[in-house]
Amino acid sequence: MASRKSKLYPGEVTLTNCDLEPIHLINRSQSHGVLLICNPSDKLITGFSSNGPDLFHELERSELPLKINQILDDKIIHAIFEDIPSEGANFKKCLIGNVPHVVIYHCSGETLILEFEPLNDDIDPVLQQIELSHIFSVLNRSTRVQDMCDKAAKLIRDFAGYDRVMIYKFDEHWNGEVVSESKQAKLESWLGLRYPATDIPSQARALFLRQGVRIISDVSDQTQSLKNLGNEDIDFSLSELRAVSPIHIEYLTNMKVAATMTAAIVFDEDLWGLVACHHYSPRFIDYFKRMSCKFLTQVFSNQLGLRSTNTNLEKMNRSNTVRAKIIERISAHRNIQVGLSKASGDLLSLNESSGGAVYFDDELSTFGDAPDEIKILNLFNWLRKSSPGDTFLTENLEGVFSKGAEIKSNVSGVLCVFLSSERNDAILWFKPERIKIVEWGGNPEKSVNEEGGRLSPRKSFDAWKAEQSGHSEPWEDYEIASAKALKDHLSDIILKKYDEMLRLNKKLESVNNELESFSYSVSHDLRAPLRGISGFSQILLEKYYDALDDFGKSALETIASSSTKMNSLIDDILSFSGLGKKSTELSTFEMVDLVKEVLEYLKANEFYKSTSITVEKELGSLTGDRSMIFQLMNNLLSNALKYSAKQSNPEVHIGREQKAFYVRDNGIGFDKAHSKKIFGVFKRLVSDEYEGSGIGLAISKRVIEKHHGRIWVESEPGKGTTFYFTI
Amino acid sequence: MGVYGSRANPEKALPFILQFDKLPMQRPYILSIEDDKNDIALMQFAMSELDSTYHMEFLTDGISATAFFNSDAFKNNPPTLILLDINLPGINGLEVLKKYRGTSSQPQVPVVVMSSSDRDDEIRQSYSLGANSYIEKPRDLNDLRGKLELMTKYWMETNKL
Repeated sequence: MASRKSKLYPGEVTLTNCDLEPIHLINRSQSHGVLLICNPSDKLITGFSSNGPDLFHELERSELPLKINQILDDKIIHAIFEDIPSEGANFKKCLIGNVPHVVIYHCSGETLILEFEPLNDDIDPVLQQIELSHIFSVLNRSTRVQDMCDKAAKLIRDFAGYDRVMIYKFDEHWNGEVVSESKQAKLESWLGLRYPATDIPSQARALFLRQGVRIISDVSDQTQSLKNLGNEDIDFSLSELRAVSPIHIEYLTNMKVAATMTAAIVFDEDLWGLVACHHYSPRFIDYFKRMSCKFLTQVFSNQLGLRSTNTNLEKMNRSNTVRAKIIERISAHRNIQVGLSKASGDLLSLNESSGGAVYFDDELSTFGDAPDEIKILNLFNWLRKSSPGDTFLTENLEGVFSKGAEIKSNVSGVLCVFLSSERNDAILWFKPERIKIVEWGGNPEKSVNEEGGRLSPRKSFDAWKAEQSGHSEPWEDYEIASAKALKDHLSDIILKKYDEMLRLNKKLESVNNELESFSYSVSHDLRAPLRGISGFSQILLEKYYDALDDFGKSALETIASSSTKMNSLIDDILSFSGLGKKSTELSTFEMVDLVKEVLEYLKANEFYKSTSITVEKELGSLTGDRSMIFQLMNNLLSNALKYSAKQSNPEVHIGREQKAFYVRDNGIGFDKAHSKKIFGVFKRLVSDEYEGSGIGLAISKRVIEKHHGRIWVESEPGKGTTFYFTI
Repeated sequence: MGVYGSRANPEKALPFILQFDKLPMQRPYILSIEDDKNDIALMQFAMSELDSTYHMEFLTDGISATAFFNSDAFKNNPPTLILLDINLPGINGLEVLKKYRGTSSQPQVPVVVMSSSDRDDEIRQSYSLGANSYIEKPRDLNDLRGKLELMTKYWMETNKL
């Protein structure tokens, strides 16, 4: 994950006019104080804000430049020049016309900037100390980040007296979200609202990082121009009185905000967020109170840093515990597939995903909120082809995968780990599109009265919404780490299992061979008594039928038909076990011819007169073992004919879609849930109403396996069935 | 009603099984070497419905079959056709065939191997050991009737040549 450390100008941010505005060079100052520009070498005042004469009458009477001692007494001048800061700002208390003031001064290049602000005389440092230490202990007590944000917002509001205090958190793209809020009850809540990065442009963020805390005491203030004889391009970044950008003023006016205070929440030199205070009438809080707020915010920042680290540690610990549980379960099941599918709940809580999928041994299982299987398979196939490493992650799937757009609502973020170097098996986690999970604290349109003609918060909100479409919450470092750790664990297990499996495979092979010859000989042994049953019952039918009463007749008929059934069952078992041994003899032949032969063999025209059988003319040719393919088509076609025969207009169609051949009927169909089961031996979904051994499809699957092809089925009860195969 | 009498019990059909020292010397016959009593009874039955010129004699194990092939009785009155099962108690049918075809002093009669097995190797082996034909044991009565009729007719005609 890219660190946000000291990164104030991310490439993603659209540079609006707002971003380009040189706000630190604005040559205006707020009216709650007076700004003087001084040349420290000759102690000459070379400039002042236009409200300067209100405080220093001499400024009106004399021409610039004038000596500093013409307006300030020597004591304070001495104090200032004794203590000029090389970095940042210093302050001195002073009385100007018997009113307590503070002068805040700093150097900007060669220029000394002095700013005079009135002090509220009601400050009792002892009380303030008590108040701050109370705040400190409250913050210290809270253990969770959210709780701490809530408390901090409340405390700062109590302390600084603003109508609304918000904790505003930046995401990795510098979009902001109000994560906590303390406000007057009558105000509309903005909790959860998000603002685009352009609302607090990069250069403003840079200034926050340098200065810590700033106020706008009156948004409607016309502000003071600067009279300046000296250097024109003074950098006022660190000025307390500096007027703000007219765009920002417009922004605040749109929100009907009259005064603000903003403090930067910084840890690890990183701008985490802001404490944003709004007041709905002009509000000035003096420098000392602001410094207290700054201090308070710093305390909060430190605690937050600590808690965030704790929270991350907690998340990581929780994730580790979950991972251990998954591994334990897999070991207990001695089967990764089963273990993983049973662990779906844990896979979900391993990280902050909303869903995911496990693809293992050609089986797909999903957990949580996931799109349907075909879409996941598409995604998975794309991942296998396009992502070279063993891990893949994105927060914007549709940006990299064209089919991603159709699943972006639940899959905009993807984290995928491949479990083997063959990249056949993988675990995927999904995160939904972020826009979906943003809870709007209020109607974002409401605060727009008139269109200001330029940037207003709500207009920019719309722009952000479009830009964020298809993006998920980012994958955090711990989430990626824990996915990789799980992968490593599983790979170990897989390797061990692989050795075990090799041994087991050899054993199985011989057992299987034994089983096959066993079933072969058993089937043959069964034939002999069956010939007796069948032969003698036929003799009875022919010679003694009339001598029996009705029950006897039906009993005899049952014996005869049962023995016929058993014969065909044995046939099927024999051909199934026989297939295991046969090697394929390849030849190329026309499928149309083969289908015709099968239909003749099945006497379809005779037994299924009412079935409309259509065969596509252009089936093309196929290379494979002709007798096996005959057997395959025989099974598929006899099924199709059998299960559609009872429909009013039975139809069977043999066709081809790209590489896949298919046999489609409009018969009874079956539930999708059975579509894998039906290829097993003796798996019958229907009652004895339809004759069959339950081996036909198992044989078909074997034939396909022998050819390294694929067979699958689509069906719906009452709507017919289509079998597809590729070879 | 032929050979069965009123009860279709294969055990009761056993008296019809050949005792080779008491061979019927006059009439042409088909020799079946078969241990399955059901099969014997069914073949008897099917044969009884066919041309009465031929009748069937049975041996039920490989040892007595081999002994019979080496006997004077066989030399003096060989069957027109031998139907040979593979799965036999004692010596199996293929062994029997090998020994018989290896005994050039005895008359060589057409041998049709009849087995319920359809294993390629057994089929190939049968022919290489000198079987004249190989057929899978018929599954039902009508099949049996047809095959017996065809075989008797074919081999009788061939023998006349």
